[in-house]
Amino acid sequence: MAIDGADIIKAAAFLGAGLSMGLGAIGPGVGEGMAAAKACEAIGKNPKEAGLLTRTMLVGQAVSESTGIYSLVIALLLLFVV
Amino acid sequence: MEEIREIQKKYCSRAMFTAIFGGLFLILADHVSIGKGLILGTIFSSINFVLMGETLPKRLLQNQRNKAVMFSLGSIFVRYLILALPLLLAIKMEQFNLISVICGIFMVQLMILGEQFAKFFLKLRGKTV
Amino acid sequence: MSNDFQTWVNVAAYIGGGAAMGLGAIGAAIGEGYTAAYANSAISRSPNLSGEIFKSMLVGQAVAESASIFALVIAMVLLFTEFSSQSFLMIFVPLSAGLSIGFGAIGSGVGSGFPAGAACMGISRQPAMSAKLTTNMLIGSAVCQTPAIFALVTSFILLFTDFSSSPVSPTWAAILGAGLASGLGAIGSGLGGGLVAGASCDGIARQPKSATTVTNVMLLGQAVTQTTAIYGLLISFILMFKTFAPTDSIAAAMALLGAGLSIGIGAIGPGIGEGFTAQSAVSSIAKNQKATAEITRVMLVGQAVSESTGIYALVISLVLIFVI
Repeated sequence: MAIDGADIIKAAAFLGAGLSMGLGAIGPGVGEGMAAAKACEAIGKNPKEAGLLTRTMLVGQAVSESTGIYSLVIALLLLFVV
Repeated sequence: MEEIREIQKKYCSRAMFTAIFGGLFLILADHVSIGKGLILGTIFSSINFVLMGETLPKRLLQNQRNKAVMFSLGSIFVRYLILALPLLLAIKMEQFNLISVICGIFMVQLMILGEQFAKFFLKLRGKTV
Repeated sequence: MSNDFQTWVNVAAYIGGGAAMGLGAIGAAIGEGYTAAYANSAISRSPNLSGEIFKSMLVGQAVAESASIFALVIAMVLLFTEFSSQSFLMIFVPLSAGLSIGFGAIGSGVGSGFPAGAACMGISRQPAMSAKLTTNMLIGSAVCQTPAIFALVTSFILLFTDFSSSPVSPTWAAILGAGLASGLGAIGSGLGGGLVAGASCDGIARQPKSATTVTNVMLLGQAVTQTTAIYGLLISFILMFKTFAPTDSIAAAMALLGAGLSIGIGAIGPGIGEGFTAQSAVSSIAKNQKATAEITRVMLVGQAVSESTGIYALVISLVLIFVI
């Protein structure tokens, strides 16, 4: 087994990429689900405003999604740049 | 408590009926170990279901919380020890096929779900046709 | 030396069996506790219905328990089977199989406690609906068991596949990654599916007329919730059945382990989130049946956005397996 420094760094980077994306997906996944849940409730109470509520939900989810995209970017950086 | 006895009788007898007929058929078709395993698993599945039903009301009607928690943990422990027995027999002895014992352990659950799904789909079909 | 291997393989099998049973029992215990708490308040609310409530609770519990019985099966196989130790790989196989079903049973066990509790409460509220409530509860908790079945399938394939001809170096990580991918990936879907089923039992009890619509939307919502567990199963299958070129580098092995962890942990969040969405959608539809079309549409859009993070995790896993 030829274990040198570069190999260990690569190994850590790959494991880190997996963990970064995995752990980073928990928050946005739950958060976006909650946003959509509230939107469903609101539409149930007031179906006429469905368009406005859907738009608001999507904007809120997009903001929440950004943290997921950060971890995707970090994972890709770890995979291809390090 | 008659309702519980009734439902236990219904599902256990269906499970045993299916297992004994399936097992006999398999034994006659020269798959002796598979047939025996199915019957063995189903017997223990029924025992587990009966014990669960017996302990359920007792567990809920305990007044003290600690006592209720201890009682349910004890019940789970004993029932799982009982369920482990057929698996141990199947692993150690050639007479019983492991996979068929596993199928037998879930026979009561299969009967419950089978009945409900049959009801559900028959109703759906009745609505659309 | 071969004697040495045998010791380690036995140690790994015991650890795997212990993990399977220990982790698997957690979910069932929490779920049963939840059901019992609700059944208790349902009985104190209407003591004359106690027989009916016990009946529904008994069948609910029998189905809810199957996830932890899966874990029991795998634990017994791990503890009492003699594993031959042809290669170093056999140390990881029992460990991974135990972790897979152990983690996989948690979500389903907790999740199927929700519909059982809600059905008990519902019977005390609407005794006339008890047959329909029981059917709905059982269908909901059967769907909750599917992620645990995925984990069980992975465990069985791991235990009964002959890995002795595979190269040791990257394959050990692939085996461990496969177990973690479908085990951890099942947690979110099991929990999420349970939330949906609980809300639908509650909704049927409050608005008996909406029963058919609520059951259908519940099944739709649960189906979307299960997708992340299916991603985990997909990655496990790739990790188990792809042949990897032998290599000495740790980096290649860690890439495969990372792939399993990425989709495994990454599937938890979207699974729970989609469950929340469908839960609210189902209870809103029960309250206001006229808005069914709008609510279903918004539910699917919201779930799709929530799913995207799970898809990122899938992409990273695939890149780790195929590109690196």
